Amino acid sequence: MLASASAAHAHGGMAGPSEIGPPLLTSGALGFACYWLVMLWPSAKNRRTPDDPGKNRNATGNRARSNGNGQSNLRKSAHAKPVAHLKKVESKMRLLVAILAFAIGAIVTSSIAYAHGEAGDEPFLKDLTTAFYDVTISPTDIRVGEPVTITGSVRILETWPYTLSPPEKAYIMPVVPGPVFALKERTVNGTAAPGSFFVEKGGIYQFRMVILGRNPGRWHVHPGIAVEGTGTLVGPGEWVTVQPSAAKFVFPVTLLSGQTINLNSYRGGFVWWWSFAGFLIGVAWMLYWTLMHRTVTNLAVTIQLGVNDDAPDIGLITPRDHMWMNVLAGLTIIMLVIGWTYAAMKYPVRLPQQTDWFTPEYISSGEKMAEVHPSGATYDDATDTLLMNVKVKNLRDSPINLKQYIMAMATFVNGNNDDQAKAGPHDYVGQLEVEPSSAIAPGETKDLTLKITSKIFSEERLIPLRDPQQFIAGLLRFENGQKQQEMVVLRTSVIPTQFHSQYLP
Amino acid sequence: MAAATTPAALAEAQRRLELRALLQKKYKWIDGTWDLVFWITAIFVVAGAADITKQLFAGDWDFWTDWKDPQWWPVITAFATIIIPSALQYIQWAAWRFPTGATYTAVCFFMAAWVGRYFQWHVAESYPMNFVWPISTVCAAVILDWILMKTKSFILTSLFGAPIWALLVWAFNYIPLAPFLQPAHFMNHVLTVSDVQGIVYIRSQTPEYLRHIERGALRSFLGETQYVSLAFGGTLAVAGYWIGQFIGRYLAVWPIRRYLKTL
Repeated sequence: MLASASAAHAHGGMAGPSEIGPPLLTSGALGFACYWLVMLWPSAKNRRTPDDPGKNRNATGNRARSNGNGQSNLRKSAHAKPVAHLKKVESKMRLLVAILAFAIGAIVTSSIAYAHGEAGDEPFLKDLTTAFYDVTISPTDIRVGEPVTITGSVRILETWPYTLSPPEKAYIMPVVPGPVFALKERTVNGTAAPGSFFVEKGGIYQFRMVILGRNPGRWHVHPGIAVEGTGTLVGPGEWVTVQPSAAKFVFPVTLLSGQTINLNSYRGGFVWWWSFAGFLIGVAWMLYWTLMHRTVTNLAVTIQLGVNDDAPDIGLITPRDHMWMNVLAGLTIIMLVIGWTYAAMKYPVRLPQQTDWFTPEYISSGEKMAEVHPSGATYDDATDTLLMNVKVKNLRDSPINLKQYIMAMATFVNGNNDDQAKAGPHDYVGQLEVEPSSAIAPGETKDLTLKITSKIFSEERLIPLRDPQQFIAGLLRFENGQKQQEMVVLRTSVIPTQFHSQYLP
Repeated sequence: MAAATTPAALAEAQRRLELRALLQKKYKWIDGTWDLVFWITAIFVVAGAADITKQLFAGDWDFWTDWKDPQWWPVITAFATIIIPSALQYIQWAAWRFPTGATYTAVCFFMAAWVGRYFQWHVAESYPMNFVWPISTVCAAVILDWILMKTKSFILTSLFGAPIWALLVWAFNYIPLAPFLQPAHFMNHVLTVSDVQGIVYIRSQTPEYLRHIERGALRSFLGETQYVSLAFGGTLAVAGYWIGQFIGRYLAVWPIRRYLKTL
């Protein structure tokens, strides 16, 4: 288990030899060295005096051959068993030391998994469900307390898999390693969204989130959308460095009473002291019974009595015990009354937790521009190359171009480096080659071949290679001369060009 | 107590005198150290059992302030937290006639919960303690043990003590929760401070819709959802109490007695 922990790839897949090799080799070497260190460690010197009857023991503890009298042989036989047992224990201890050393080595040398496990998800869960695009995460270098803004869009695809519950409720959030950032603002389609919202297939949700750096470090930040019944689907991410700051992190929140509190520490002390005060009563109760009465030996008496007999005449529970327990129970009630009075007076206005769910405003995917008919795709695992064949018909009165193919959290751009830089976080953007590259004339139907070669496919495990659903889906982004755009959903079967041998089912 | 007159009563009085002497007997080898060893070593087992049971049934309600709602929290928590105290109450009462089982469990659980919450969730994960503080069952446990001591009956303790347990677990922990139920202005909405905590301190794999909290039902009781929930929670706690009794009687004490008889 410990050794395999080091195999966790940054995005949740299993690492290759380059990543898993060093920690395993190091820990193996450490285990080997420790084993032999223990094996070759010199034994303790014999500290017995010359008069000690055991002085004739040899190095292994066996009594040396004596002068042949029977008593000596008896002793030898009596010692043989414990010595053999001790040797067994010793050998087990050595093995234990080696295993411990291996385990510690594996833990220490394991690379830290920074990201969020999205590569562990099935490809269909990423491809057929959502597509993230136009994502920006900036700035990427801040100090504690400073903001990072995450913007972008996510579309719930019409190709939502029938194996999942239909999408109804969702929640957009930053996907980060715990609360190393604090979320300050969030809007969905322009509306403030503190909670969840209702979604539907085909819906487009533009999000904007502002997070404040809370813990210094280098953190991988993604937008994500959690859909009820499906889980969290992760968008493209960016590394954000949070530098330490001289000022302590605070998060001011204004109460309706007008008071401003620091959410980071508000009433933390009271929670602790209140709980601890109650704990002390319990400790007093326990100390009374454990110090004023014997415990273990009571069993000899209680076993001879009925369970409803507290035997004050025998001394099991005495009137004195009752008196002190009444005092402690009374203290408990008094404490509760004081606490309630305090809370009621200090916090007279209290609300139940709020669940403000809403339906975001509708956003169009653009005026109908193109009709797309896929005719299959192939994927070459060795070169990470996806080839898709599509028939596109231009429905507008001006030429259109295919600008992007968006798949799950990745965007592939038919354009130059500047176009790619604008398309989203660098690690999730790749090149799209379209053949023929010329624009599609009004009314024209054209057969296009889309070629994408990118490591994103294997790193994020986007392509199904031996899955029950050999399909991929994404968005084709078309643009005309007037910069008008339309996103068209594409769903196609994908055939791997080679299949790897499987030795296990 | 009337003076014993019949031979049977005299014999019983004599037997009880012998038991009194047995109770006060000074043992040479089984001294107070054995008591100490028992109480200290059992802390970890009891704390683990109590914490795991609570995690299984009421994990998230105990973890986050924004899950501590008027509808589900009083119901689930009372049931989840009474099981192991009840089992220990039977064991310690039957074995030593100590009304300490619930309090001992609650004290052990308190220590384990705070250590776990502080180191795992605050230090390692950096959630503020005012968001992830664990509940305390100590005061409810003191009263539950007190009821057993007074009634000397597990049936009466379950009937009266379990509903009181539900009430007191909620009441004791509602006091530190109260400041977090104040209304605040955040993202152009009126939210409680606990809601704001749930939004601000990011839980990437615990989306907001997962919260099992009151969402507007049970409002026909003049809006006082929590009292309806407490009544139901008290009833459920009675069931939880007897699950604990089953564990104490048939999974703990009965096998030990059977084993001792075979020796």
